[in-house]
Amino acid sequence: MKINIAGWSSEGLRCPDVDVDLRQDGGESYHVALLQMPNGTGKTTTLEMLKATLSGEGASWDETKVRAMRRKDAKHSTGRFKVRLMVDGKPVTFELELDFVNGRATSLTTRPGSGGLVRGWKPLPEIRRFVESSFLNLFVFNGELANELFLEDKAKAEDAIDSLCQLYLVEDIMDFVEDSFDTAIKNATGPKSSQALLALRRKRDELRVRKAKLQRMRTKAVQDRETAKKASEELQARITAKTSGHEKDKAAHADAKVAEATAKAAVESARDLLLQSLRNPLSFSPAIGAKLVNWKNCLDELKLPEATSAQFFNDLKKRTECICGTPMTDVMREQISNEARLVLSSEETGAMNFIKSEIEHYQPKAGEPSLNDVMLDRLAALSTARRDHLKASQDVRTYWRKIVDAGGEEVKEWEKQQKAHDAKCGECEDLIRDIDDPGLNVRTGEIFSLARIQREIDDASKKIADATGTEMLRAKTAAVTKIIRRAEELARRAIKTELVDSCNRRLRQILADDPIALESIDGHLVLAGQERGSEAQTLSVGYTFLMTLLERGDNRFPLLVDSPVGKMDGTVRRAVGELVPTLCSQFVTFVINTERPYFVPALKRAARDVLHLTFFRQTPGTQRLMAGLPKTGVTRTADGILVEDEAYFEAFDMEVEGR
Amino acid sequence: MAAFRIREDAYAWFSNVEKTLPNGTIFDLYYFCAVTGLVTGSSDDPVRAGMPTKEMVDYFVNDYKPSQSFLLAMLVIAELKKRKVDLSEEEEVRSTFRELIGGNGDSYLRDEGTRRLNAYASGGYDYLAERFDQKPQSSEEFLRQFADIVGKAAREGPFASS
Repeated sequence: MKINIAGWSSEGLRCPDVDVDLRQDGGESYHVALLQMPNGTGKTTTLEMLKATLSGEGASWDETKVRAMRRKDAKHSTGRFKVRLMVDGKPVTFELELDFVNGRATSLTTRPGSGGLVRGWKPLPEIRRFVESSFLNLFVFNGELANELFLEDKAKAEDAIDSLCQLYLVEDIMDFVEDSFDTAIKNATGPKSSQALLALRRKRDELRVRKAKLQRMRTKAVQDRETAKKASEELQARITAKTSGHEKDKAAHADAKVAEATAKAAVESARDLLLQSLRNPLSFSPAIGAKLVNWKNCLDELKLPEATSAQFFNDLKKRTECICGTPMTDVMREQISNEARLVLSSEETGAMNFIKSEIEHYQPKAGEPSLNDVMLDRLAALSTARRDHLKASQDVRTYWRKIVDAGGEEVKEWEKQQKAHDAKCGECEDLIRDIDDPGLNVRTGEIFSLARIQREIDDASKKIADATGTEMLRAKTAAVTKIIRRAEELARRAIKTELVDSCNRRLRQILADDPIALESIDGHLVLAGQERGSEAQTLSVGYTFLMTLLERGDNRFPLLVDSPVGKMDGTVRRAVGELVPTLCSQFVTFVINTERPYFVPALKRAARDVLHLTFFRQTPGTQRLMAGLPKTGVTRTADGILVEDEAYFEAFDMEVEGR
Repeated sequence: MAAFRIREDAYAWFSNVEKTLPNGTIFDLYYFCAVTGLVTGSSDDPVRAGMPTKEMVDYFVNDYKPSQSFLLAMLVIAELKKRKVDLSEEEEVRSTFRELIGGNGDSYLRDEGTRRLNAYASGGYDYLAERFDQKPQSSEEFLRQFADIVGKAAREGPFASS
């Protein structure tokens, strides 16, 4: 199957009102389409709308989210975004209609043979999985993704494999197995009262509901964190741009931040060392150790523990004759029992010997500092590290305040907004940490740990199975579950091996002059024989991995990438520009004017044909751009100008809207 | 087998410490309280006093295995001191020891020993809370003051050089 993006249109939204056609004279799509938009024109919103419309996820947005998509200060009551795809040459469209008055969004779909527009997100069955959010993120993304495939903590490569190979369906199978088990035991009666069983089932149902809620909360927290992080970064970029000219302060601020991070790490290291010391009670004072030694010596003087344990007397009582040969009588047994009570039992003797031995050996060797000395040194080190950290933090604040003050009221407002986004990001991170926590500590209030919820569900399931006498069925269910898990593990391993081989075959051709190979996929991509390649190599491997993955099963997908070369140097831009068109059947990218050098010429060399589009809003600040407009290829929209012209594209010199 | 118990109000008091102690566990919080109680001779059985507690494990976690014998010895010494028993009184020393130590579990504590250690943890928490102006805001801040408070107390309580 071959999927191409034919174009999209937008109306009444935060992104510009525009109709973008990526086809050549209404036929085949251009191999490479470049859409140049200054920062602040709505690239991010366009990308978000593209994803939300194609995946149908926009239809479940809440009121706030829907209304947030209305253009600032606009009064219209509806907005609309439409994406046109070509699937094996046949048109398919997805629309998202936003009702700002009622805060509702509705999906609409058009597909061949459907008889026109239908309400709802109803893609063709054969493309359904390719436009679901998890998969869509593999071919519509911002430029960071190729790099993130290498980050150990993100496991994006594994997620990508899951999405493409639908390994998440294994979870559905597991749910089916568990549901079948539940149905089977639903009416079974067991040794426990039906009331107790009902309570257990209710508890498990509640736990499952909580589990599903936590999973939703986590997904939302991840999204919110990314949104807040992005917003914060955008504000930071604006602040940086606005405060240009204060390079000395900025350099000092950057240095202070490095010093602060170093000081923070020193505090954490000193704290961990101090905790290690304090976990030994003898470190608090030499007096404690001395007291223990004194007690141990007293026990020695008292000859404790005794050489004979209570066990000896208890064994003696059971004999028919005493050790002296006298027949054992009840009176003698009672006397022996009394004697046994006066000496320590074997467990008590063992415990006392263990304690005495440990006390005897705690003393440091000659020349080594005492436990107390070590602890005091670590305490002093922590105090020093904290002082250094406080000073470093103060320096960061001072330089930052200087930069912000120089930027005026606008920058202060941005800083305020940035702080709010950072706080939101922190809240989301706390929540994600709580949800991912193994949950081994005592329960305090509502459960947040998914791992703990699962343990409690398993525990409740076991009790239900026991109570209903369905042990055998439970064992069979467990066996099936194990087989499914094993199958998943084997499938995952086989897919990874095949992918690594395919990628490496491709890389040998693509990077013949600068060879690099994939070693494995372990959540993230792992390079053979080196931790990281050069940036150009890393990106090349990232894009090659994505396209090799996408093309499994003879499918062809477009790549739509926002800002693919943002912060890269010329060599890397050239490498990415030359590589990407060779990997995919269609490459659509959003760029700003500063991303053109090296990247666009390289793209042109590698592409069959290139579409050059430039869009800017019509405002007093963009008035100067009107003068150079070409005679043809200019479309005026409700709020901007769309220009299809290579020369205009190349000459366009606005990075941020209005500046 | 009795389990270690930490007072709920103590657990809440330590919330910021727990958050900023990445490698820490709830047992660390219990230990901070228990060692303070032992060193200062402060004890107050929370269960008998009707204070809400959280049940923990019934053994010393790995981080505290190397200190287990010292804590057991400190418990016996603190109890002997509390009962005004001289270390040379053989019968009393033996009976106190067997009352507290010698259980079959991994902790070597009898139920009474665990109950008494929980009482010292409760008393220790009160002792600490009285000496902090407010609940500690971070693990760094807490550890510094904690080391100082317990170090000073060691020179005056049951473990002071006699």
